[in-house]
Amino acid sequence: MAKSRKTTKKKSPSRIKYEASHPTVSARIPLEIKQKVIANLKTLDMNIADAFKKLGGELEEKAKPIELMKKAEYKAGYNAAKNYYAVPYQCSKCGQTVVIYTPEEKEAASRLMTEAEWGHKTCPEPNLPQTTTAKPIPANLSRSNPNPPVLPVAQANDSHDKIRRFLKEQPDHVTNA
Amino acid sequence: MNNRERFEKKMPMVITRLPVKTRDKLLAELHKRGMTLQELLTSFADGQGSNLDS
Repeated sequence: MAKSRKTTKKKSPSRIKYEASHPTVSARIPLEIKQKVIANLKTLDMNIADAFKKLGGELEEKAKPIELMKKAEYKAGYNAAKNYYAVPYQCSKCGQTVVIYTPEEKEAASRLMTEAEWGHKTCPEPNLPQTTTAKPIPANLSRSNPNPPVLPVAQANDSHDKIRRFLKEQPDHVTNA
Repeated sequence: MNNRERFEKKMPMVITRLPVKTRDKLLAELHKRGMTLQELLTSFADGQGSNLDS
């Protein structure tokens, strides 16, 4: 009677060492989820082992090729400058966006801005006609009046006496007189 | 097709070999998060790599 033995290929010593130092990590997940995982990780240029390594804090970010980085930086700088400097407007005929570029366009934009009275934020407002309803200052009290009104001496003394009397009547008032 | 085959077709295995240290760190991270490996893989399917930071 012949024995039914499973024939297993003998592993090489290096294979044995490798398998000992690199144990398997496995899990069963639904097929749809596995496909999604692989697709998601592919967008990050990673595989499942890389994801596990990164989660374990063992994987450093892969350095991108220098040319790719240069292109990305140039594009980012170009877009930033475009957003800052470009003045777009809509074409009156087709409605598409046009950027001010030619000297004629710049001149027209300059004229429009001037006509619409655009200017520095910090500049003072120009002298506008007065629209407030505040009472006008009498001419004799104005600073420009060369002869301001002066009280007669007697009238002034009366006023001073009244003040002194009022202060003396106050109980907690202290005078140096 | 028997039950086992049907199951294995429906639930394929995600399998990889990792260095022992990495495997231990991964298991520690999973323990810290209170997750299983299956849950972690499911979260990879939902997110866009934002849950990859240890």
